[in-house]
Amino acid sequence: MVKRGVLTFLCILLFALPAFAAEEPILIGGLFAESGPAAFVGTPSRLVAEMTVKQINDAGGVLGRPIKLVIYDTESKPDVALRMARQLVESDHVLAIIGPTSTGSGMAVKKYAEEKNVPVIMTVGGDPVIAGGKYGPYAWTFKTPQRTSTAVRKVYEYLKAHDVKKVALMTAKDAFGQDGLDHLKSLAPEFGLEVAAEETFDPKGSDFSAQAFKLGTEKPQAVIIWTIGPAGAIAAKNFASLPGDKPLVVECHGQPGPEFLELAGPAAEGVIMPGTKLMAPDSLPAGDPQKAVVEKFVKDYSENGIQAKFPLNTHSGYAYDALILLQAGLEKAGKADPAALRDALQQLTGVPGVSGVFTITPEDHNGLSTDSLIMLLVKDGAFTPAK
Amino acid sequence: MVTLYLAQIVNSGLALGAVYGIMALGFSLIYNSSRLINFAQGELLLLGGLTLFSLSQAAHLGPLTALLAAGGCGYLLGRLLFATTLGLSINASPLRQLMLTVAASLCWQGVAILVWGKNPLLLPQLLPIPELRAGPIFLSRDTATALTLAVCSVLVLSLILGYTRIGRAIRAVSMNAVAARLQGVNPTTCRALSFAMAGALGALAAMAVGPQTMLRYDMGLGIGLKGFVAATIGGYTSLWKVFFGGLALGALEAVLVLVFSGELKETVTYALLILLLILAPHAGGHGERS
Amino acid sequence: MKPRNYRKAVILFFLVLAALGFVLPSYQLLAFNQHLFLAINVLALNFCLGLGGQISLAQGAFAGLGAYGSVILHGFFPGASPLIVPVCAGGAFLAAALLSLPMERLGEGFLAMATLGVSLIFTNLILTFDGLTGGSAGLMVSAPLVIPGVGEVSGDREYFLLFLGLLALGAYVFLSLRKSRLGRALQACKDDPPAASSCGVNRPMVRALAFGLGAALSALSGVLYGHYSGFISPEQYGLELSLMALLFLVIGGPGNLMRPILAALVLETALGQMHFLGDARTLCNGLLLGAALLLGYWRESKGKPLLPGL
Repeated sequence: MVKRGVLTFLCILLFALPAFAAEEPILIGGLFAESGPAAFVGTPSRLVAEMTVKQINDAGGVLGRPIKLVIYDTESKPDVALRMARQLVESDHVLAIIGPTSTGSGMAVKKYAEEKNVPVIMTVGGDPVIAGGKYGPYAWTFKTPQRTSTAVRKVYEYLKAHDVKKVALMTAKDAFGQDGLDHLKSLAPEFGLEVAAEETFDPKGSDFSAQAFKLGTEKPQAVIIWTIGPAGAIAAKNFASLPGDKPLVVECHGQPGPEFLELAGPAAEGVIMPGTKLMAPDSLPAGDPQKAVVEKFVKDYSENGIQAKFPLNTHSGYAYDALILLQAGLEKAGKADPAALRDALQQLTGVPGVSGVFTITPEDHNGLSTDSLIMLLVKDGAFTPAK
Repeated sequence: MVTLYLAQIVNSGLALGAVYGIMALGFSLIYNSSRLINFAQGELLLLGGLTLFSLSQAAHLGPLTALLAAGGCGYLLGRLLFATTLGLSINASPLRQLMLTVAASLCWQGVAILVWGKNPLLLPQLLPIPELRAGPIFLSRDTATALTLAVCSVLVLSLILGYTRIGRAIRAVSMNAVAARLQGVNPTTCRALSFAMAGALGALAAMAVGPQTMLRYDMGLGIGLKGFVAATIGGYTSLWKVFFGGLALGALEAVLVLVFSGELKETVTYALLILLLILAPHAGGHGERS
Repeated sequence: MKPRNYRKAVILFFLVLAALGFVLPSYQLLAFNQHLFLAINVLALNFCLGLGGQISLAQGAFAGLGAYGSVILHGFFPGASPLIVPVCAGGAFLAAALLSLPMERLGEGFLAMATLGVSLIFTNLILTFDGLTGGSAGLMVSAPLVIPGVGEVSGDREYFLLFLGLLALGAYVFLSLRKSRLGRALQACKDDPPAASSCGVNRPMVRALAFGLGAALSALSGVLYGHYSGFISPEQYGLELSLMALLFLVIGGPGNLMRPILAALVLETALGQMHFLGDARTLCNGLLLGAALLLGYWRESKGKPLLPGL
């Protein structure tokens, strides 16, 4: 009797299996820095990713299947990021990976992903992950934040339109600042700009007035500061306290956020910087393809309680964009297969995300142009679009 | 032009050095009493600052209450650090004690993450110290605050160490713990007290550093290292020297940036430090301990 | 424990490690190799701290010297591993020995400061010469390590054998050194420096030798690790590596061969498994390490072994 019962049960299970299989979730790996120095970017990214996956699943999932996110902490270390990426691929058998958070971790993961043919959509700031050349191929690696070169072009376009001829550069001594310096120097001639002087600084320092003074003695019309975190605001304060004529202070696309305003205080007035449209959602015209996406994201961000812990800044949307791209890619591919997903991702055109409208090609694995950024001006303690 | 450069060396040197100096004071207090390098000195600043932040959110802090609150919180934090590191391992090898402060710094960062989150927090200016501008000389509010606090701390500490009974006991322990004990001084109490004073200094330093760079869980090591270097330049022997060690380090960095470039600043600074250690007579260790 | 039994225990330990390496799946072997890399650095630090009584916070810099030296040289001369690897190890040996000579007389705190300076200088030099080193963006490893007669080294299992072999070699050198005339001279320097000098021990030379040997071992581990991970960046060989090596050595007890290595392997594995703790992770890491330190102290002060045989 018992035997027969078991047998019947097994038969039922056997018939039921295909039905289960159809709704088996698509496994996606998530790598975020949740401890270590990059955790202040990685933790909100994780929260945004979880929020986005829930939204996608509530709307019926992708290809009729829900998405399941398997998340590991990279501890902000390249070695741990690689370890976790391998665990995702070889033990959890994920289809694709989103993240990691910092450029060093990105490089370590990329090397492996390229060898194993795993699509990875990164949320790292640095260009090397999709630069090719000495940084290795990038056939399977994508990234959602604007390229450094895109941000540099945006800044230079603005400066050229405002008749600036002579600039000075002040960049952080880390991967982000180094990337910025390279592009700022190489693109300057294209926009008819002369780089009068350049200085580097430790992004963990507490005062850069010596660098500011030295750059000021060259009498540049504008000075461009390239760093993430409080150092940008400290540098703005240092320039504001220089005696005599002050150059126009331009910050990079990593700065827009409430902390800059808070820390720089009155010194923030008149500072300009490129930022995503997330920073000025009210200024978007009604016909903008991003308007609906950005407004919904801002609303969801505060409704899910992330705003209270991590006030919205320019980094907030990267994980959202990575998942939106993944969803679009899977739908275009029509099946959950790594190679098909990669090919589909490379052909995406006009996908509206928070950071911009993505049009990805096999050569350009970022897909954002300078149009995705707007120049922001700090006026009366708030970001407004710069004219 | 030369005057402007010289003025800028003073400005930047003071801006950097004031922070280094106030950190260095805490280091030297603990090093002198216990021969211990406190890797958690930066975390004393961090948690002191974060506690002040919460207090300033909960209630309006006037300058005097802020100072008292900082001193009080810092004092308790220092006692806590002593109780969890040196107090537990009073007879352990100095290395084990050193590593316990490393473990403590991790724990404290963990507490900062759990209680205050991972986002940087801006501590408001709690002291009404204005910025100073006299010709080419310029001191920002933060720098002026740091300098004032550091000078006042050195004065108060010198008075305590020089003229009170407990201060003399602390100095006796730092010179020779065994002899001090033979004279009826309890070295453990003195060491705990020096930790507490270092904690108070850390919280005071936070009042200057917090408004300048914001407070974040991972800031401790970076800011602690510079204080450590400054204390070493100062030689750990007297509070004034240690404080001037901080100012000297700040001025050195400013000179390096202005005359050469920021690129080699750290390399040259640390190379000079090693050279200084090798050439200095006081750095020899043998005999000092035995 | 009797010397013969001790030798048996050490051999058994390495056999168990080797067996683990063949059982674990490939991706877990990666974590294991990363822990072995740290364990080798703990052992390397044991040469100068455990034998000679001199603290060093520059171990990460010497590992980085090996990694960067080897990767850059392999970029210029691919396939020349039999020449490049000894050059890296020898370079680190010389650099460390020369650095150690003037620093020898420094007291503990000041020596920590000076070696910390060495570590920071190394990181800054890597950042400054970004044309050659890739700066903080890091460097992709272009050419593999080649063993003559075997071919290119790749794969987790192969590197596992190399890491384990290097650890065993280091352990062998450590044990022989400890028993040798040089080892006893080092012991004398550690126990009472002035007395050692007056007994005719050339203190700076003896200590420079121990310092250099440790640095060479670190550099070798760096060579392996650089080629193994395929990407090197300054943050991998910074102050954190030095501090962790020192931490595990102190937990295990300087001068002891197996306990620090075991501490590094076991605790690192445990720390790597803590991601389920979420935001409480940093605090728990600190508590775990603190508890390990205190446990070792109480065991020392009672004079009892914590585990039988260790």
